[in-house]
Amino acid sequence: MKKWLEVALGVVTGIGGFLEVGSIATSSQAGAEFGYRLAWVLLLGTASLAFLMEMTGRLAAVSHRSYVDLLREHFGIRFFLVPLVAVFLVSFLVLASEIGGVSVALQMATGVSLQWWAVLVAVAGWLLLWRGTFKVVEQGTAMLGLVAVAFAAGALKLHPQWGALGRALVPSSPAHDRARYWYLAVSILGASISPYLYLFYSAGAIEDHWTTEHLWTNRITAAFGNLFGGTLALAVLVVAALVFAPRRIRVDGYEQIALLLSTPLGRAGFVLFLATLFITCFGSTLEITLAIAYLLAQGFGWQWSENLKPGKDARFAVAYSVVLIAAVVPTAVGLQPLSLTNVSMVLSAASLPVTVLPLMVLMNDEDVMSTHANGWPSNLALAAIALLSLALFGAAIPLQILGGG
Amino acid sequence: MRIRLRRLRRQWRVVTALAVLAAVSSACGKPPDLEKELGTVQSWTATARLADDQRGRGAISRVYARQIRDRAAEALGQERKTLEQAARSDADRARARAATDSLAAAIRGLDQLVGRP
Amino acid sequence: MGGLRLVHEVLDSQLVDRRKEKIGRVDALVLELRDGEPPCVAAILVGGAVRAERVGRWMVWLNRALRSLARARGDGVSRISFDAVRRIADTIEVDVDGESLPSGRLERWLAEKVVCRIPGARGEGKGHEQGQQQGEHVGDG
Repeated sequence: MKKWLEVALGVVTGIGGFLEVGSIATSSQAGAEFGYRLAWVLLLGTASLAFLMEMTGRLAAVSHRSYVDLLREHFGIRFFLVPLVAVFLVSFLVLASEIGGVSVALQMATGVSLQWWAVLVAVAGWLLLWRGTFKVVEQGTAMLGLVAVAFAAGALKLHPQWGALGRALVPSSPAHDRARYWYLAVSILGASISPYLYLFYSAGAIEDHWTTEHLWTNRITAAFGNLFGGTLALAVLVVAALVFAPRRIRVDGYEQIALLLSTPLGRAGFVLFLATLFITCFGSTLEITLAIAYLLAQGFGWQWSENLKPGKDARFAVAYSVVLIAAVVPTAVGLQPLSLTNVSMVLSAASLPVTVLPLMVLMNDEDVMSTHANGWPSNLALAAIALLSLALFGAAIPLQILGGG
Repeated sequence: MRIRLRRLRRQWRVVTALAVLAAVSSACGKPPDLEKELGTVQSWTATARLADDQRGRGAISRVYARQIRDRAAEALGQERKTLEQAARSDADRARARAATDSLAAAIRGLDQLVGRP
Repeated sequence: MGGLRLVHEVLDSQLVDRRKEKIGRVDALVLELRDGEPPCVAAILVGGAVRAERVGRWMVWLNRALRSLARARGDGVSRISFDAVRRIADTIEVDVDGESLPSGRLERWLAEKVVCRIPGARGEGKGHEQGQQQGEHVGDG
């Protein structure tokens, strides 16, 4: 019974981590500008993330070390600096945009400028990390994040054309605005397959003391958590396709996105949207801050755990504190949150090879994985994801120049 | 081994330079494209009208509607300048004026609902 | 006696002290060359300076610059005799006191001067996780 509860909580965590400002921003832009056409990209991104999470989770459960631990141990300090710097920079930008997301939600609710809210958000986030445990962060985010189901409700209320939606799950190319289309495709993938997501998941497996007994929990969490999360991101796309596209409204700022839920669901939708934006972005703020601190602590061998009092893991605690405070600066000085999000999503996509390619080595190493190394299906999936990551690396920056808003 | 790594480091510098270039280019403008700018004006017009409709039904708060109104007004100001640069012919200028007039009208509609003079 | 693959199993592995606390990673190994006999592993080195050497000159320069900026004493490198190694598995357990190591100075300084000045920092564990330290795995073989 307890096992099932654990699994259920794990699944819910998947939603909380998946739908955040990046997904909301990219899915709503995609739906507004191309209707259902980009749905297949969400499917691709969700499936890829599910595989990556299952693998990094299995890695941690079997070897009792997180993915970052193994990146340092297996490849050495010299190689490790590459993913260290890449993931640090990209995650920092994503973190800044998540703080922007929370601040925008508060601005929309109160009218007070988001630049002030950014500072308060950092203080609140810091207090939660300083005093809270890993379970508080993980489960609190997850349970509250269920409010995002409002998007599914909104989508259903608008009566989407299921046939057209189904057809959009097959890859297609548009007749015009091709640069913009593929740019949005890349940013959706960057939002879906953010490195911090599976790095955090792997570290979380260690925080939760997973062992080989948790392998099925891991599989179910990765699969269903992402299924639900991906469905909600799809719901955002559908709502944008049905509310914005017919009116030819393009998303130029976060402020417009609240209209997505107020149209089908009235005042309740408006409130639910603000709650969703606030909660999912705040949860992601905590997760990414921790993910960056885990990256540093595990890479350099510091004492670390969100379950320890800060006095016991001083470098880890100082790391997450400094990172969180620094990430407030872009929003506080007035950088446009949506622009920040768009750029960070593309860079996120471009950075994928440095965290996907090493996984191919580790998941097939018997010293690390003993009897739980990848079978051919997992390897096939991983190889496909690796090829995708290389394609994104090559295409991301040209597309940002050609198709970026 | 060391030479290969030096080449790799050079490649990383190129990639970083490209990344910075991309970020900068998306922040700075490209020469204004008339169709795109008209699309932006039309998008904000539709947004203002939708917000007007929602506010009328009580679906969004006054505080929020005011923010939409302000953003739309900001966009109007920016687009008026940009369209001046983008419009080449008299026909273009006529289209631009029609578009900005629609947006101005939509904003006025919102003004009444959010209590602005 | 089986062989020990130094690079694969020891280098860059997590070090854990006698109190089961993480004290850094194996940044370098010191081999002792003896006449007529195969070399043996004399010691483990832990510290930013030796890590920087493995990366390159620029890293060494950066490390030195940061240390002089912080007015840090010595080179911050801990030398742990290989005799102190108790177990080599997922982590490398060494019979030393982490508090006494030079490479742990930053952690101690931050803990004393920064972190513990802020309320809520002291104590063993947070909430119901209190008492359960890392390194203990329930039901672990």
